[in-house]
Amino acid sequence: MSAPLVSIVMLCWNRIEDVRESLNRIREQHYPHIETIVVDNGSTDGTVEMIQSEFPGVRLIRMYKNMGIEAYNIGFANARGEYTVIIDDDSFPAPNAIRRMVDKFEADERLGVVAFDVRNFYSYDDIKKEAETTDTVTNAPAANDYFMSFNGAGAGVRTSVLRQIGGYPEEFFLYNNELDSAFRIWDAGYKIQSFPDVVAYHKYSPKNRTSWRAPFYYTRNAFWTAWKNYPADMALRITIQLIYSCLYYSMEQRTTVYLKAMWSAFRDRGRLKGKRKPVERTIAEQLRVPWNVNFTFYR
Amino acid sequence: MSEPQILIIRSVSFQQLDQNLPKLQEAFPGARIALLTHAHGVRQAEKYRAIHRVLAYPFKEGFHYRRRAADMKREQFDAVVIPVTNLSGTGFFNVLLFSLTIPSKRRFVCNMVSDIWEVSASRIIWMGVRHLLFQAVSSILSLLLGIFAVLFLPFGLKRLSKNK
Repeated sequence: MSAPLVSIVMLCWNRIEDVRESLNRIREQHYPHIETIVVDNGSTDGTVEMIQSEFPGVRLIRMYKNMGIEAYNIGFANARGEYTVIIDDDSFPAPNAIRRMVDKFEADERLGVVAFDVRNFYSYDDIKKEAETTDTVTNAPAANDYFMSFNGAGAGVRTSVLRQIGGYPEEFFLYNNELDSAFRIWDAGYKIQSFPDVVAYHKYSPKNRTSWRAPFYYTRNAFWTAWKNYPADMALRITIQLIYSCLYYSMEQRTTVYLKAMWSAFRDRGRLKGKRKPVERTIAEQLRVPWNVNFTFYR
Repeated sequence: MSEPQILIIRSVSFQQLDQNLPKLQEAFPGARIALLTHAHGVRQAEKYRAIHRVLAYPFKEGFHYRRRAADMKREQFDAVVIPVTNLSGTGFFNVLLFSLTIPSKRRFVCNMVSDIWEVSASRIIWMGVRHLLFQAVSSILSLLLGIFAVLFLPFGLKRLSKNK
């Protein structure tokens, strides 16, 4: 039986050097049957031309403007692989990661997402134990009795599951899209598990983070995640909790960004029309959502 | 003289900790470093060469002084380190307060660019006074806004439902 096809879907926007490096690293994958899809969100720095000239085997899809995470869905729709690997334009899987990921999927048909252990590109190899370079490293999933989401800088998803849940929530534009997807994946009866032996490298850099985008979108989308996915009583409780947090952290951090995000969540709630589908109560209770993290990215 | 015993409370992503850890080793030369993390992070934490011991926080929710890890009471550390995802450390008062439940001589914050500074127990308690003030104002305002939420959100949610 031949190895199943794996589609790598990358979203990029004006990061020509990072994209070049990530695509070069993908060439080092040990797994033989891979297609790479890059969705360009309207780059103006020559990324498109670079991909066309240096990576002719890559399937390039061009957006006419920056559509945020909605563009991922275009990539997902074009994926022909049985499994889809989601990466950022500054992340890539370790050479053995996709082979290991496929093994995990093939061994468990209810496994919906293999959450990669996303590590810092600049320092991880210097601080890890040597054992990880071999296949002897533990391959058991992380042990916990609650449900988890995943990190979109490195995750493998069963493509059929991705289609079943409708991909990422395009109305979110940026941030918390993985969390929203996680609700729907668990609710569809599939598991999300993190495996420490499946590693992705991410160019984690504080300099890449602008000051208002992360707190704004994380906060607005936290409200929307609650409204879309929780049973009504839990959605109400979390909404009040989020209102409290917006007020508290606005005072603590002397910013209006959280109030603006809260206002935007209520004002633009129409974008969620037809998208609310409460998950099973057990899933709502079991999925770990660290709401406070949304309020830690400013200053 | 015995090696200094350091505890890192993993309040940030592993990506950031990967970056902070070498700087912490420089700041605490020769220290034996333990890491407190939620259960889902134990396997990942065990991959660090510099971490001698990984301790599991036995709760699903975030670090909080009311959710104390019972085992920690028997420990004694020379320093507890709280990494934060921003420059100033704001947004991490809950973790700072939680750190007071762990027996330790000193406490440090390590930010996203690995700047490290000491924060005294009295400073955390003083921050707690400010916290109480913000908490009181936020609670009153949330109560007022919450009335509107209770009245209108159930209808709003129905309008957002798939079958409408």
